[in-house]
Amino acid sequence: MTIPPPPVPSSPAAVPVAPATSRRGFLRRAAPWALSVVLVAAAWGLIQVQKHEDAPYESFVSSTTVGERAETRNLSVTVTEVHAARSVSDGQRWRAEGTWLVVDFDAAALDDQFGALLATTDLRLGDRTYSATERGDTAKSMVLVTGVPRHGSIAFELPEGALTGPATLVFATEYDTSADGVIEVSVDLDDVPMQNEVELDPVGWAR
Amino acid sequence: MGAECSLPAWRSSARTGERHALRSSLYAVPVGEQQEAEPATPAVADAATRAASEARMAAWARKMTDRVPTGWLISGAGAILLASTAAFGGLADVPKPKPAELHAGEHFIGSELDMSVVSAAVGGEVKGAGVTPDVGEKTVVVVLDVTNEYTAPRTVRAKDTLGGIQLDGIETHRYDVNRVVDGSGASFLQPDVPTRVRIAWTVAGEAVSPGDEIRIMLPDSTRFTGSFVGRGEYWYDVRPGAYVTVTLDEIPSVDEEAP
Repeated sequence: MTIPPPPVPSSPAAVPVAPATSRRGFLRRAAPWALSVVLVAAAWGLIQVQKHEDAPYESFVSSTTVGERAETRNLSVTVTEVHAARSVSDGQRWRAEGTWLVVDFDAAALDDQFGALLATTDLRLGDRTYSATERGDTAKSMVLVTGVPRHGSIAFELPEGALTGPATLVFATEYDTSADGVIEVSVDLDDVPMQNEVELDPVGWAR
Repeated sequence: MGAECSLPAWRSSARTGERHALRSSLYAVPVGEQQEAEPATPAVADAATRAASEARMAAWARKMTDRVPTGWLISGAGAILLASTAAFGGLADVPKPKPAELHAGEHFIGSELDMSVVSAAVGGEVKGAGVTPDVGEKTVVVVLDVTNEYTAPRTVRAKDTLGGIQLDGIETHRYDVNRVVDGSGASFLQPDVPTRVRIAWTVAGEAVSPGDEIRIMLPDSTRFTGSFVGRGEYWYDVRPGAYVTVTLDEIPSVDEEAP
């Protein structure tokens, strides 16, 4: 492949270079660079304010504390009491040793009773998530009634020595809480005295 | 007609097919009126200079690229590739890690579960086992200590957890998992909480008898965190992680509790 010889440049004398023209030429060359820099900076800024990838799936959180009522989509929960215990029983046949966190609460549906149950009852402690135990007769997956709170207890089986520091109880009416409302109750486990034995409240109407 | 009147003039004339000359300066510039006015405006001279400098640049770039020894580079890269392949053992298959061979009491960590077989036993109908053998069948009960080492609860009966435990070479029919401490059905393993479970299978009567050595396969798998199109945690590539050799004890009679 051959390259055509470069055209003979016209003599400089033939082109009168006025200062105004050169300044305009400089501006014309600088403008795209300046615009590019501005656009790159704008793109960087856009990335900074952008939400992370899973942001559309984040839950709508109603935060509360022990003793205070909180509401979310079709669920209201009041945690009435939190106990730490070395052993737990449901007052009937089941009794278990270990490290337990027992949570007494009232819960009701808000608008729709159809299929309403307390599907998610989790405890977030440090980087771990625990679900309420399926052992014994507890209020795990309790059926909810619209407007009329029911009372019950759930229990969390934890590793030994885990009952310390801040923790969060999570309540929701769905198993998958993405893009749905959840109630989060913060508890400081250092403030919860350890008891030898705690009996779960039977599931019934709240008083 | 009113709608047509509101159209721009050029459009309506195109519609109606009127043969008007395009008078707008947007479409046509009469040739020979302005271009030939001055022979060497600064703009034209500028363009010529720029073209010249671009051509010089192109020539220089071509000269430089011609100096790059492409052939040598390709041969060298090929030689490096072959040499590194040979250095790492050629194209032979990498030997797969063999499942560990263990005995009762030894711990195996697979699928992010710490598992340790305590004992195994065989009997007829075993109370509390959760499964009832048919006529001519027996119940094999394996007692296992398990601790979930992941940060969230794991279901018990999934293929990547205790549901993946098998008796090597023995066909099993029914299956159940209970906690030893209270006999409750085990559904979830909470993080870091050690649990002793009783896994029961029904097997054909002639498949096992007390005193036999059986090999219990503990599963291993790899965790995958969904992102972009997937969400959540999955354990995939479930594979045998360890074989635990245990001698089968005998569970004496129907009324006896499983070990």
